[in-house]
Amino acid sequence: MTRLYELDAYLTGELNEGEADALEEAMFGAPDDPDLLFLDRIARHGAQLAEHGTFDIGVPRAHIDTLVAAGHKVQMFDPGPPGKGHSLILDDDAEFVVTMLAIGRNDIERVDVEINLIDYNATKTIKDVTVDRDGIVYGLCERPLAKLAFGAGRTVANVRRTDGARDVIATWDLTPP
Amino acid sequence: MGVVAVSLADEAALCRRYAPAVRTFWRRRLRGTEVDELTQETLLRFVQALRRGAITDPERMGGFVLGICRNLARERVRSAERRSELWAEFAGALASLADEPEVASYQLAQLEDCLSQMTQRSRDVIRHAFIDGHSSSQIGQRMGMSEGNVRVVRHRTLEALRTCMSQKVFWEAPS
Repeated sequence: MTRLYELDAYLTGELNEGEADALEEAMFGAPDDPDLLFLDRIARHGAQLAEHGTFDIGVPRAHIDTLVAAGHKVQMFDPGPPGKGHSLILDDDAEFVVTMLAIGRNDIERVDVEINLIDYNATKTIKDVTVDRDGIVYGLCERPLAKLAFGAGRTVANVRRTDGARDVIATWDLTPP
Repeated sequence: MGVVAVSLADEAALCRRYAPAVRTFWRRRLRGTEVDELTQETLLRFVQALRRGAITDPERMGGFVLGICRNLARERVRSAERRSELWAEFAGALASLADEPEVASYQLAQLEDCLSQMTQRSRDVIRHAFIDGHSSSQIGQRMGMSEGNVRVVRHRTLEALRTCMSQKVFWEAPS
């Protein structure tokens, strides 16, 4: 069993007392272990994301309203209908940014959003993003990630179905303002 | 055998070094804010022991911190008054536990970005296991999966997150 799996089993209560005692000795004997630091980050920062509702990047509109009502500074970014447009200048005081993608499909619960960074020739897929009942994807992220995302230059976002065909539903081609 | 002499900076570095292990120890037993409270109490007692010269063998420092954790776990009857006294006297050393803002921001963005690339099921399993503290059995019941399948998804997701988080954030310029 690797150290990561041992720590996983330890935290999820799947080690017996003897095994747990032995792992504790090893854990405190090597407190700089990369797997220990990794799981600590997952738990600490994950709790922060879960508290804000940013553990999942797609959220219902109602969650955004809740954040605003709680006094958080939420910057809304609506690039308009699919097609070419401009991306966002981040407000100095924004704690969260919501990217609204109006795909006009309220018959779909989830989509994948494929992001293409043209300048970096890089692609990633944001998976299983919730589509709200109004047919809009509300992509919520924390300021640190928004700062990186909106500083990455021209971005082409293909919203795809999550089924086998993975058809493109809508595309936005956004350049910095 | 001599006493281990440490400066304030050393104390801070030692607290930072052992904090992940201490938090992990308490996470196995407690949830939510109690983890932070017991982590603080453990490290306060550690700093107190350092200053008293109670630690004589640097090689056994990890065992000493683990001993504090285990004693606290056995006691679990904590005096709020004693804690506030410790806080007033030794809290300065714990300032180091606050992450450097830039590092914390980057790490938060990295986790958020990596989580977004996992499936909903993977994210749910990780959240239920490590944030909510649910067992594989509880997660399985909640998500309609076998316990074994929960473990498989958890392991695969952890591996994927570890790989993702060892790289630069997707949105950064390649080096």
